[in-house]
Amino acid sequence: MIENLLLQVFNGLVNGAFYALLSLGLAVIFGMLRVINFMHGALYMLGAFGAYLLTAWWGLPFWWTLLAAPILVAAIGLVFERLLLRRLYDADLLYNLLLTFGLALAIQDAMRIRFGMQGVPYGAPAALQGAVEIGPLLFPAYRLFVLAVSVLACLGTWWLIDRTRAGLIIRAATERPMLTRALGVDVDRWIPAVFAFGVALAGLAGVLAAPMRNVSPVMGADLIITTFAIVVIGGMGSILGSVVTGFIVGVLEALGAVYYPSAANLVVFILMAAILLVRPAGLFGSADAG
Amino acid sequence: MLEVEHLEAWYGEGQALHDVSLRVRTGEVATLVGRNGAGKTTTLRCIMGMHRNIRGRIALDGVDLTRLSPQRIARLGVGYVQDDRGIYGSLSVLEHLLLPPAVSEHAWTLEKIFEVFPILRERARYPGTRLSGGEQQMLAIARVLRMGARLLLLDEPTEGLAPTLIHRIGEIIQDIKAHRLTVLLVEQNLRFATTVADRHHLIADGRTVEDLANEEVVRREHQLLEYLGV
Repeated sequence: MIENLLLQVFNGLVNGAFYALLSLGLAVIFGMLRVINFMHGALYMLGAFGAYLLTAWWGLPFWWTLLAAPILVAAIGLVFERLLLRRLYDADLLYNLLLTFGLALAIQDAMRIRFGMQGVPYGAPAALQGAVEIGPLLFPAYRLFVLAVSVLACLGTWWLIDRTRAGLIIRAATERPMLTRALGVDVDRWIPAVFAFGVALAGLAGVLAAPMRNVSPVMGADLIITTFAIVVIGGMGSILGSVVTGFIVGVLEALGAVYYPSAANLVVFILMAAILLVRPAGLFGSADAG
Repeated sequence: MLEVEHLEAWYGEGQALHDVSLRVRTGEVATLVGRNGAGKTTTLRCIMGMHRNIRGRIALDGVDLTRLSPQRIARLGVGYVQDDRGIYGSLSVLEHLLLPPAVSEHAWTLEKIFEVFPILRERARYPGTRLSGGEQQMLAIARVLRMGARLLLLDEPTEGLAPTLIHRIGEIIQDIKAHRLTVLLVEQNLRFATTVADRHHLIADGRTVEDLANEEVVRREHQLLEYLGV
């Protein structure tokens, strides 16, 4: 019984690993750019397809796609940011929401036309197949790997934001964008880099998902709504909030799936409603942010 | 020298400034004095480039600031200390001081900052918003000195502070003046204003109405206090 519970918590953490990576990217982007990036799910999907195509076309091993696909996704994101998004920064944030929503649909449909709805298979590398025994439990090796990479990526992001000059500017611009400029800080210079970094995290989540989940054009669309709910629960733009909430929601969903299956998909929205009633700024948001 | 000529500003349809004109000479401390809602803060925001919907001319040492971005204006040496002090919760005290780039050779070193504001050295690792009101005010001023501002725009630095701290802020402004920096100070506290300023610009309903030397304000204090409704 307790073993089963532990396994479910573990599976929940692995799902949470994807949520954390995705919502972390969204939070970083929203904080700095005030853009609600609706194409985040589509870019996650491109990350998964990137891994698949790099392997299928050029025989690149999984390990290299782990690096190359997020960079590709970041480059694609950068092109959209420079060509389109930046034109709308001065407008109401609804405009960029609509733009990225449209781009998400366009990317998704383009991939559907080329690859169909069925999706494509992608295997885990041989080294990560099988299971690892920890105490009385058997954990699938690949899932452990996903969890580890996600935690490392989140810690790395935290380090960047907490300890570097770029992170200092990101924190300042997130909290008080106008004043930060009025202190002579060149905020705009960092915007493309921050956007690229945020979508690279989505790309990384996509690569990690490729061996575990069906690589299909709609894989991101299924995920993005939950991810947005997580960002709201964590507090818009809160780095810590998005990561912690990502893992919490992953675990709650997994437990819900076992103990009360019909509500499993509702868990996140019930949580969102409850949190917003008590703390309108989210778990880790500050009331005066933005 | 800071020159503001016939400045007008709008919030949407409403006109906040009708005709604000003033000159502040280099090394001078000048105040903007007026009732709440007279347009004092709006004037400072316009000078800082944070308010776009304006007409008129603003120039610093002959350089036209009117159409420049806040970032460019800051890099020309204008330091803004806004009325809520603008302290970040996610930055430590030290990070506040390291955030702005040094924009001129006047930029104070950290050593000098800590000499003038020893409390900031003690609190260097604290999150900015954990400081007391007076400490936050000092941090906000120290931050623009560190940047190398030669014109400081101070929006009610004494608001909500205890008398001893008000006195301390006065000393700091004297110190800034001794460095030949220029200060434009928004102040409700007329008595405090007369202890630090050389000139006073009276503003009412979005118009500068009088420009008085400090001695004259001291002489007419009662009348002016009445005028301000204090």
